[in-house]
Amino acid sequence: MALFLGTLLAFGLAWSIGYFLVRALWREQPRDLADRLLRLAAAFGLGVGIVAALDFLWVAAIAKPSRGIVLVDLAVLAVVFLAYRLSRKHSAPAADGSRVFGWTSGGVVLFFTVIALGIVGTVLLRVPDGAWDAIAIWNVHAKFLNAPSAHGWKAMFDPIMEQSHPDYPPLLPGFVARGWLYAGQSIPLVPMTLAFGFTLALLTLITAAVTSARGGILGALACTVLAASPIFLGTALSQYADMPLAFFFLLAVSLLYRADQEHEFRPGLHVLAGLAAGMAALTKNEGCLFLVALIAGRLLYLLLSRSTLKSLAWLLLGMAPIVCVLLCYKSFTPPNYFVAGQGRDFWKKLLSRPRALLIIDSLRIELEQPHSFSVGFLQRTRTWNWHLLASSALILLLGIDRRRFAHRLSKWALALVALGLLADIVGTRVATGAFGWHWSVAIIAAVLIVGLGFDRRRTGHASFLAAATTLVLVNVGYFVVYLLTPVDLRWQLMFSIERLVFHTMPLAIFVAFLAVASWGRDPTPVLTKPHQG
Amino acid sequence: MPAESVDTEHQRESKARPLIWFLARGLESPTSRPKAWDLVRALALVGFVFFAAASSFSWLRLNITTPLKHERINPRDAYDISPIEQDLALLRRWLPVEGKVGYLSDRPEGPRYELRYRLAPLLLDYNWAKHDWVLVDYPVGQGATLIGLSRYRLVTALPEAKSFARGMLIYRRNP
Repeated sequence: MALFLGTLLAFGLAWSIGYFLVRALWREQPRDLADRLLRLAAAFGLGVGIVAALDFLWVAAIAKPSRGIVLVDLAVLAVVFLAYRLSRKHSAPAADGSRVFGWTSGGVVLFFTVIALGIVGTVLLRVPDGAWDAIAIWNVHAKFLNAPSAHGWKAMFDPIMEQSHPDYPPLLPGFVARGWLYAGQSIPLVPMTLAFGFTLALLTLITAAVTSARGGILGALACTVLAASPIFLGTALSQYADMPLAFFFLLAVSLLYRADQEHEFRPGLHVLAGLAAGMAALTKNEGCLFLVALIAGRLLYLLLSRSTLKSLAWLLLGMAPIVCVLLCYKSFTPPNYFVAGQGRDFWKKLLSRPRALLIIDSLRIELEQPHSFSVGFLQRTRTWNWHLLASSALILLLGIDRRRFAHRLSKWALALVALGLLADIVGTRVATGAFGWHWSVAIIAAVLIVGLGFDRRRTGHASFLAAATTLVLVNVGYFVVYLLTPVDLRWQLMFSIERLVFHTMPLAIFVAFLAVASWGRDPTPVLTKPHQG
Repeated sequence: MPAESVDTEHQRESKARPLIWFLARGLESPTSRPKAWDLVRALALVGFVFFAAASSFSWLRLNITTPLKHERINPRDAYDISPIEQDLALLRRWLPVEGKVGYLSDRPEGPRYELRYRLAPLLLDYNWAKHDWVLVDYPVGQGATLIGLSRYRLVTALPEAKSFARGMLIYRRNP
């Protein structure tokens, strides 16, 4: 019982800190259920991140863990609660409070969330220790952070532990260490609950973010697309840091998109988005790439909307404390293998056509038939390989602006699309092991639909372009990292590509649903002119 | 394009659309009624939700009713001390909590790494001869022939630690 209560205390404190922080910085009263869900999901992720950062700072400063840190947690909770109480005096009233979810869309969200959590929960119980990297990297780091002697945690940087990648950032291990400290034992319940919590938080976040931007029906559909994805389910149960990373990617971008739609400039939303982006960097090294991509996206937004640099300054202010914690951690770690492994063959690898083709082919195989390690715990059904095709077709169909498309494209183009989809179906069933013609046709058809058929008022808006630029830049960055990797490329692709695909998958779903045509009650039928913040 | 001419064109082509008639019906012209296209979208939406529901439900059923080989589902595993942890607790009684000890085993790389990770923050060094304490993972009785008897003495044998090893032996360098 004490183990359970200790775990509950760790999660309860983290969530409370996150909740009051979000409410203090996002002063406007929630306007509907989607707004409330967005805040609740953000509170979970940011609370976990803050507790993890505090855990690392405490261990680095005091040299060893101690249960006295509960006082630090309570003090931080008191501070954010006070800030929340003070901010309530200045908070704006709720906008409308109308229902965003009908019975059908609410039922769909509930159904898919329960089913996804059922699958993830079942497999978490079956494999309580998680997949290999959870044992070999994330939970090992947590054990070192809880090492009882003074400076004992620094033993994780010993060359003996090189295989456990001690340079990986400390968000996940920091929170697991804190949970174990409160529970009094290194029990699997803490990382399991964390994986389960981020699964629920990510589903809640995508539903709330899309609903908030595009209405309840599209929000429910976005939840469906994510919850039914085999890559999502496989990643959720592995207890890796990829799920929190994908969560923070989506949280940062969706908060910025939300801030752009407000009629008044709200610095708190930018600070929260900056915190979320910082947390991404504190979760995995890929998060640093995301920081760069996010800032580039925001610069594009500023350029297109002719806004001042104020919003970017608030965003950077939110990032700053977490980036400082990351730099503090990195001051102890050995150099990252990727950075240390670069040599004279830099340009040769960067411009290598065979390497590029190998990456594209691995990506194609992974998308067609998810096969890699982390999804190996799931029993597969016959529908496994159809999800990407079905969801892509759905988004394209929903995205077509009928009148625009009729103007721009003859019906022969639709025949091409139908042929492309048909070819893709045939190609999926008959895997050739090469980047076949069916993929080329499908991609050309999809680009034609998006380019000529989607509503330019949405896809041409600065907020959308900023989000899409971030998404594209992160993926381009991943491609370059694969090109330059100093380790065997085939090996690295085999063990990581599905996780890298997953990192930006929720963000890609969010961006796609921003672009599709309206359905039902749309909070932003035509995007408003952005504020000049 | 004037709406009238589009409608005329639509009527002219209406007989030559065998494959994509349903889709094209909704794309007729900027002025035509959007009902057919809305129907296409609604069918796509409902179809996807049914596909996803059937797919997710069958995964759930399959994963609950058909565990992987040699696996069992027990909620107590989440907060109980697992058999591996019980065996590790046996080792921890004899070994220091932190620092480095030697480790000698001929097991494959995977299990050796796993033991190293599970015993953290204690560091297991494969270069065992440098250390006063050595953990030997060989069946009891074989360890003595592998490690210099004159330099090390057997502290304890833990043949019951079978969850992750073939029987653990702990040696300590003679003073």
